[in-house]
Amino acid sequence: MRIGEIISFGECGFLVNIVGSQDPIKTAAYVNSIAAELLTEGCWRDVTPGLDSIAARYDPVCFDHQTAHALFKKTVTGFRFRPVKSPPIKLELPVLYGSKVGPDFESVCKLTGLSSEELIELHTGQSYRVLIMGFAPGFAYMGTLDERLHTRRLDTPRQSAPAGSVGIAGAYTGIYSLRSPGGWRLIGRTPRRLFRPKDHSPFLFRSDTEVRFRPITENEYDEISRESLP
Amino acid sequence: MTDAVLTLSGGAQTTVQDLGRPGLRHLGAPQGGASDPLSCALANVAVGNPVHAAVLECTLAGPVLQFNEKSVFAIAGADMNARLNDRPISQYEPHTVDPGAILTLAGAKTGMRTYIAFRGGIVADVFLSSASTYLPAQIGGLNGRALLPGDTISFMTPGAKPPTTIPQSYRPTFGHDWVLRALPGPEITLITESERQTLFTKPFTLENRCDRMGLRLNGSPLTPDLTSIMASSAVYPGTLQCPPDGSPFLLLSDGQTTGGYPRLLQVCAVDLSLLGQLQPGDRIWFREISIENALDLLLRKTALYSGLLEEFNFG
Repeated sequence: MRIGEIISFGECGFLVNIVGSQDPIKTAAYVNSIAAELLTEGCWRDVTPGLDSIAARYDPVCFDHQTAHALFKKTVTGFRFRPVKSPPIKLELPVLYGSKVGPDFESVCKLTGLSSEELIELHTGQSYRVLIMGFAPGFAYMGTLDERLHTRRLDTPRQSAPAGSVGIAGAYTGIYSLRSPGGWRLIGRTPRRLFRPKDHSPFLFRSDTEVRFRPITENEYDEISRESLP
Repeated sequence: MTDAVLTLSGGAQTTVQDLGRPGLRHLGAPQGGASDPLSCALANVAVGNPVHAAVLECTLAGPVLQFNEKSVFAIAGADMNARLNDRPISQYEPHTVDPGAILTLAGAKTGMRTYIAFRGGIVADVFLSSASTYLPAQIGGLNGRALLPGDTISFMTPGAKPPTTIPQSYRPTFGHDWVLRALPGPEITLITESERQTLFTKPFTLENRCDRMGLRLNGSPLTPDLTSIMASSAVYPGTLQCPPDGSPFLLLSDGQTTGGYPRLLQVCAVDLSLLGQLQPGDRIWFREISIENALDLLLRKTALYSGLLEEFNFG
C-alpha cells in the first residue's frame, strides 16, 4: 500500500489515490486516518475521503497552488499509519429483499447467475465494514462483497432511489440514506432511518461500524417502519 | 417581527437558501446553499445584509408574496419580470414597501433562479450553522421544504449597513448559450483524444432532468472506457461525470460528495455561480483552460468584487 501520484482536481484542489492494496478495509482505514489528519490541519476548505483516494481543497486567497501542493504532499506522504485496534461497533440491519423494493433484484440475479435465495444468502451471509462515509449525509460505503455479487453500476443512473434502498456496485454495498439519484443496483430496502438530522447523533453509521443484514418479511418491514417514524 | 410576508403562491420551487454548509464533505454532506451564490450575495448586499443571510431562491417560475409590514427587499439573478402592485420593478436595487403590497414574480426567460433578499434576512431553521433548505433530507429553511401558499416569513433585526444599489458592472447577465471554462477531470484519459476534442468544442444541451443536485446534458455521445470498475471518489459542484450511456451530468449545489462514474472535467470556480442559472434547453460549450489561467481569473474576479462582497468565496 502506497501513495500514488498527486494530481490537481479543479484549480484549488488535489487528489491522490492509494495504490497497491488488495484489501479495501485496510485501504479505507488508511484513507480515513489521512483524512482525519488533514482535517486537523485547519487549512483545507474541505476534505473528501474516497474508497481508495483522498481529496482536499484549499482557499486560493490564503495559499498559492505550489504552497498548498507542498502542504498536501507533506501530509499524505509523511503520514505514518497506525491501525486502531479498538473493536468496531456492531449493528444488525433489517432488509426486505426482492424486486418490489429492489428494482434491480432480478437483473442482478441474471447478471450474476444466482437464484433469488442465493443472492439473499450471499448478501446476508457475512458482515461488512463501513469503509467510508460519503455520497450523502448518512450514506455508508460498506465492503467487501462476495465476488459472486460484483456488478457494474447502471448504464444510466436512476433519477431517484428511495431512502433506505440497499444497493450494490463493484465490491461494495451501501444504503441510500436519503431519496437521491444514483447508479448502484438496488436489491432491497431497510425500514431503518440512516440519517436523523434532529437527533443528538444524526448518523446511524460511522466509519468502522460492522454491519450485518438480516432478511425480513413485508410484515416485519411495515412494523419496523411504523416504529421508526420521526 | 413575525409574519412580515404571506405566501400567496409558492411558484415552481421556492426555498430558503444562504451560502450553505461548507467543510462537511467528509460526512457526505454537500455545501448546499444558493445554486447561484453570487446572485444570492448581491441580493443581500442590496438590502444591507451580510452576504450569507437567508434569502428566497425562486426556480424557473417565481412566487406571489404579500407584505404585512413595512419592509425592504431586493431581487437578483434571473429576470422573472418582478412586479410590485402590478408595476414592473428593477433588480439589484432596494425597494421599500408598505403593508399590503404584493410582489409577483413570473417565469424566467433567461436564467433559472432568482433571489429575493429581505432586509434583516429570513428567520429559518438552522442546521449545522446554515439555514439552507436541503430538500432530500428535509432540513433547513421553512420545515425543510419549498414554500407553499399560506406560509409566512419573518425577518431578523437588520444590522447597521444601509441598503445600496448594485452598480451595473457587477450584475451578471444570462442568455441561452453558455461558455463555461473548465479543467480536465481525473478520468479524462478514459475517453479518446477525439472525444476530448468534442467535449471541449461541441455544444451540449441541457435536458429537462435538472434540479439542485445535478443537470443532465445531451450532446455527441461520449464512450468512456469502463473496463475496470472505478472506486467512488470525490466529486464537487461543477464536476462533469459520464455514465456508460454517454450522457454526461453536471453536479450542482446539493450534489453528492463522492461518485463512481468517470469525472471528465471540473467547471472553473470563476464560472461556478453560472451553473445555477442553466435552464432546460440551454446550450453549453466547455472551454478548456490551464490551472494557472483558472487561478488568475478566480483571483481577479475575487478582487473585482472584494469591495462589494465581504467574506464571499467564489470557489
